[in-house]
Amino acid sequence: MSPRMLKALPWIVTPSLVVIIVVAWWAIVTLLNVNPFIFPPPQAVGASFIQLLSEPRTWAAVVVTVSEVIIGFVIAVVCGVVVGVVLGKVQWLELSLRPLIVIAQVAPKVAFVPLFVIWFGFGLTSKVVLAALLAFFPIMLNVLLGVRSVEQGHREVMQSLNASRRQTFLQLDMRSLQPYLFAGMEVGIVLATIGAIVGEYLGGNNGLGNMVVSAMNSLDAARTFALILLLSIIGLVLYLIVNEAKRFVIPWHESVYGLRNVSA
Amino acid sequence: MITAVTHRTTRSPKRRIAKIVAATLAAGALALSGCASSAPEPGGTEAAPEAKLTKMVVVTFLPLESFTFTPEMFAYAGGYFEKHGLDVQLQPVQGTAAAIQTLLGGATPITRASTVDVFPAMEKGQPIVAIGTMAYKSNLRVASAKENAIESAADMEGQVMGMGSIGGTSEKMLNLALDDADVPRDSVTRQAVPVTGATFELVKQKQLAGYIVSLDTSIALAEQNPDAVISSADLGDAPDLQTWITTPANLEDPDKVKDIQAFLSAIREATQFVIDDAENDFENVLQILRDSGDFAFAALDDDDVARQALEVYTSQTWIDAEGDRALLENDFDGWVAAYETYAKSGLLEGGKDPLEWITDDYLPTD
Repeated sequence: MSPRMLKALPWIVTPSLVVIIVVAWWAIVTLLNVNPFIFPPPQAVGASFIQLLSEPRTWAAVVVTVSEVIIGFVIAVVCGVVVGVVLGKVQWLELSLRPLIVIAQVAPKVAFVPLFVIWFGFGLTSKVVLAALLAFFPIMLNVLLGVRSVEQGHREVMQSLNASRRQTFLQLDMRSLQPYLFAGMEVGIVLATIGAIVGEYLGGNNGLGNMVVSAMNSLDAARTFALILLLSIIGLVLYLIVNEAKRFVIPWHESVYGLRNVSA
Repeated sequence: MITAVTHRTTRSPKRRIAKIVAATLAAGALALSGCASSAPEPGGTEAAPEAKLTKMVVVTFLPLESFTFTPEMFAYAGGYFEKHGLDVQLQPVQGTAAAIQTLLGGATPITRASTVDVFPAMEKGQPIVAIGTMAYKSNLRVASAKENAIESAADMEGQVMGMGSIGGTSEKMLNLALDDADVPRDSVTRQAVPVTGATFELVKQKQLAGYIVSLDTSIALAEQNPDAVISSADLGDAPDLQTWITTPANLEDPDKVKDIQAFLSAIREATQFVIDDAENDFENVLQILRDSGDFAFAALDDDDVARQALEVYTSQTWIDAEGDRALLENDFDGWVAAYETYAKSGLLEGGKDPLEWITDDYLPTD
């Protein structure tokens, strides 16, 4: 396949798949005469989506949800980098804490939401905490892996250049872990979005998650689907922002320039 | 927390023994109390052969962790479903809306829902028919603190109120109560909160003036917090009937009608047993539920909470207040009155005949 074709591929395949999915969806609900209370037709969801976008309270809810996601994500990145670097550098500490880290990682954090609401109130904080908690682990683990993945040869070069520990850390470790950090951030931003929405499901009276619950309780399936669509778009945009940040920050890494070479 | 869903294709020997022992004890206790001749025996004593049981999935609108679902739980634990030839799987879903969708999707032949939740779907022409009344009134309670007691809808004006989820049954009942008291709806700020006893901390912290809870939770909360005020806060005055619902398509299928009637018979007999056991302070009911091992939740393990909750259900909820209707028999006047009240409040458009959506024709006749 020519580079030009490769570059055009996403612009052809993605819209085509969307069209196929929507047509299949429409065909299924129409041919099988599916009750719109259970599975609404795409045109009803489309109409509901447009209606949703025209409501000022939707945009107020978007601001709330996105704020929760971004604040939670930033906290997760800061904490993930700090903890990941410390654990990556101090092996005995990592070995000592590993069982606890695994337990904390596999614990169903969503189950804590009712407690978070009681501890942190039903405002922004409880959702930010959940978003940060969900995003923290993939970021921290990737950073830890990044710190551990610095090649010994590179360290020896730094030593031979009489680099201080600070210089080695800033110019070798931090640089080496950046691709890993971005890998964790790409997963983390998605999880932070889920955390904020689940938090809104179960506490407070703001945000898109809350609107989803309200629509479900009203048996308004089309509006529920429209809200899910809107949430998915927000999640996609946030993911793309992180992805673009990666291209900007680590243009030298193979995961970025390799892709650029392919699409060039 | 309840153990999985209560379905077992092959019942364990342990559970079977527990049930038989419990049923025997219950029958004995009733005999000793002098009412054995009039009260029905637990259904387990007449269990039909398992090979002939018809499988039936029945959804409940919340997890089975509340005495709200005593009829279903007791019919299961007491063997009433088996007695009527059914192998019932009780499958909880999250909320009444999900239960209604499950019914419409054909995954369950019958479920129960409040008028406040099911009327909007019925008015929009959804094929749903009410075939028996399980609860003649709402049992929602408001928990607040003595220093800012919420004892009426009027007390909520300008306050922050918590509820399980926005737009759900609690909020609809709140709106009706506020309308009735001429309190502007938007004067009350609503917050979704966990409807557990722990949320009372938010009331103590004055983040909430109060929150709407189930009967079980309100009783447990009152026992644990001397400073708690539990009130219906006029929520119970708004008309709300909880009816068993199915679809017209199910009622056109003779086999399904047979199963539905068997289910309702089991529910009615189980409910009657619970009502009759009031004079024993529900000792037999609690023993059967506990010994079955099928259900485990805090209120069930607490004698005081369990007995207080069952007292309210058996004396105020499952029976018609006027006393002129048999168990599960529909209250047509109450049904129409509820529709008109909801239409007046704006919850419904109005102008339809709600009697088209309800029938007594499928109630058990035995």
